[in-house]
Amino acid sequence: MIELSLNEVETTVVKAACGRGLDHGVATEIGTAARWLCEAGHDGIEAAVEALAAVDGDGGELGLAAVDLALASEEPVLVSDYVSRTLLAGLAGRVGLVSVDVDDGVELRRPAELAVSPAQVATVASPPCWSELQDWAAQTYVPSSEQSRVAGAGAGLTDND
Amino acid sequence: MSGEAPSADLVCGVGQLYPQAELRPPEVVMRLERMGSFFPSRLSFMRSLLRDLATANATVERGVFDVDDDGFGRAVYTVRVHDHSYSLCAFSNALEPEQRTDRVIAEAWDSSFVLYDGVPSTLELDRLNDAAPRQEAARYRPTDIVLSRANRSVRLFEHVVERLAAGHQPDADTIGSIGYLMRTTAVYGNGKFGIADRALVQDRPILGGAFRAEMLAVWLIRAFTHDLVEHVAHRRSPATAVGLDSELKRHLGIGNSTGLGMAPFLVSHPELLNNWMLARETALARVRAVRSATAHHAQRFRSLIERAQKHAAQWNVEDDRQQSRIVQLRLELGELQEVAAACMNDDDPWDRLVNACSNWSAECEELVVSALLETYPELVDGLAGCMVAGESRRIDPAMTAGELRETIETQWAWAVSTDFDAPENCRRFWYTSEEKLEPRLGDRFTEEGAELERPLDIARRVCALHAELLGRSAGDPVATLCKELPQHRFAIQRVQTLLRHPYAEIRDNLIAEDLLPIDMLRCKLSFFGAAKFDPKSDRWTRVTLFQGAPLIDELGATGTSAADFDDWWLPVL
Repeated sequence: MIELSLNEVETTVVKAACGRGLDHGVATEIGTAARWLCEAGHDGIEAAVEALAAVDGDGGELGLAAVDLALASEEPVLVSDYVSRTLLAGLAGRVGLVSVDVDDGVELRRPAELAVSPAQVATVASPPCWSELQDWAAQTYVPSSEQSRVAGAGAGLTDND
Repeated sequence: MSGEAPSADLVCGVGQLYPQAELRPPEVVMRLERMGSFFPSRLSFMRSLLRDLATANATVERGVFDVDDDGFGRAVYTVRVHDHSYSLCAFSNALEPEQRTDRVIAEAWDSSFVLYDGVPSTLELDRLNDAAPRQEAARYRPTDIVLSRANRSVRLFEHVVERLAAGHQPDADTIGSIGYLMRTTAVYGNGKFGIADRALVQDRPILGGAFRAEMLAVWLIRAFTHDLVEHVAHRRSPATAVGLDSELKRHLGIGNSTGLGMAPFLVSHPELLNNWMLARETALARVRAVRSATAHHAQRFRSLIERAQKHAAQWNVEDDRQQSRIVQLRLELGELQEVAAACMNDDDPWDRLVNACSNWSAECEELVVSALLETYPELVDGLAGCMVAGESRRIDPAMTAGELRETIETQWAWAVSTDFDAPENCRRFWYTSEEKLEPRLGDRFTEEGAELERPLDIARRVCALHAELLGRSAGDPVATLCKELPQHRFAIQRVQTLLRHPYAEIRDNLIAEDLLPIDMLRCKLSFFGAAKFDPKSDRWTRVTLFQGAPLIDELGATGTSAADFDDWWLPVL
């Protein structure tokens, strides 16, 4: 177990989401939601892993579209299909919406009063599933080759002067 | 949501505090050729950092200096400012010559550094002594604000030691041409490897601005290199050694090798880029609105251009493209004094001058911009506080597809008219190598990995989004688009961001065959305050940081005015 900074959580989740094939814009939403959850004392890393493990395709099952819809309308929006209840709370919570469990699923609403910002925490302990995120993130890295090493960064090999 | 978005006009009260001429439009400013011609200015982060430290009566003390005859050991420099202390912890180790490379893929360095929140106990110093030399391979804590490392300039370090040990000052020309005793090869902040998130320090005085903590670390590293070279010289020959002359010492900055890693930052932080640019352009617009030049300001501008001429004369590089630009700049600076003299006797002198400059190279035009900013601290310095940005704004789901399309057609016409199927318009791809996660640039048609490219192909994405919108009903809300076309969410976000932040996007194709990443590096480095750009290829440059800057013991020194303390734009020896 290591202590992670919140920025590490966010950037790793974004990369992992890209590694799972999601658009960068969608990945950014998941990254900021995971960070927001961690700041609020919830397990944002597990939520991200739970959601990304279930993603199959373009991420439509995350509930992000419902959050967009709720932001664009005054009415509550019902979400009946989602892959991670906690991540859905994060996606909604970080933009000031509340998510409430109802009979048919989860309702996203504007809060009656302004939500309190989550407390600042400096670090979070890495849970066992952290390595899964890292593995997905690593799927965005290009294996090195001699051509890449020499030309890709455009630098001289030594600077001994 | 769209109703809550601030207009760019409202940022920092632009247009309310001072008269200003029209801003130069983003179509002119946000081109790579121009951004790659920027010079440091008094809005650069190094300059504003040192001004703020002086204003806050900050002090620096060397609490630990436990270094052996060869210069190996550790040292601690503590800055006390407001209610905080920040300590640079420096660790210097022996390094085999063949291990000395400036690239990110290096695994050992001459020296390593941590900027620590507070004053470290011996136990904490031991922890950092164990971790910092391993850099990315170790883990850090939120007390550790910045992580960095540096290599000696072998040539200059030994020359200075030899001369000082023998009782002589080093050769001024050699100092002038190299300019630093050590080069930093990475300066990490914002939560990397467990160090403090930026959020932990962003509300504090001094460290709140962009890259402030990183710049503070580098300024203290410079002090360490000065002390180190004097220490080694003294140990080599205690009977004859002398200290470095202050003027020469001031001219010894910190070198920096900068590769591609800096370039994606400008693209991934559009609001921040906008605010940097907007502050600089607003400063220029304020100066252009000055109705007549006082004798003081006219004289100040003339002397700054004389200094710039000397600086340009001392700036020589091996890179053919840059050297020919420097030669051109020297010629144009020769004509500038005469043209400026004619403008200064007229109404709206600086507006006339800027207009007259448009016949010259971008390099010369941008140098004039920096010189004009330098001439009017009273109009410019307050804008330094506007060069930060909060969290990225989310997409506006209530906007309609029609509005989105219209925005693209008015603001992204250059992107939409590009044929991204043509090889010359899509040859490059940006990627992260699995080798120490080094950012690299590849050739889509000859190299593997293009399917893993990083999203720097903004123009191509917006172009694809536009094609999609042509077949959509204009009344569809963005929320529906995002649901049906999630692969375009990032492009939608960029289009909406540019609507609110006119200087947020580089208006060039970042995957074009003829892309020169060096232009992106120079832009960013000029905002840091770096000068003497010395390109080593089209994607790698050396620069000098803090050359000519005040020394740590000059903070709060009696007899130096605030203006003199701050007067180190384009230093000359």
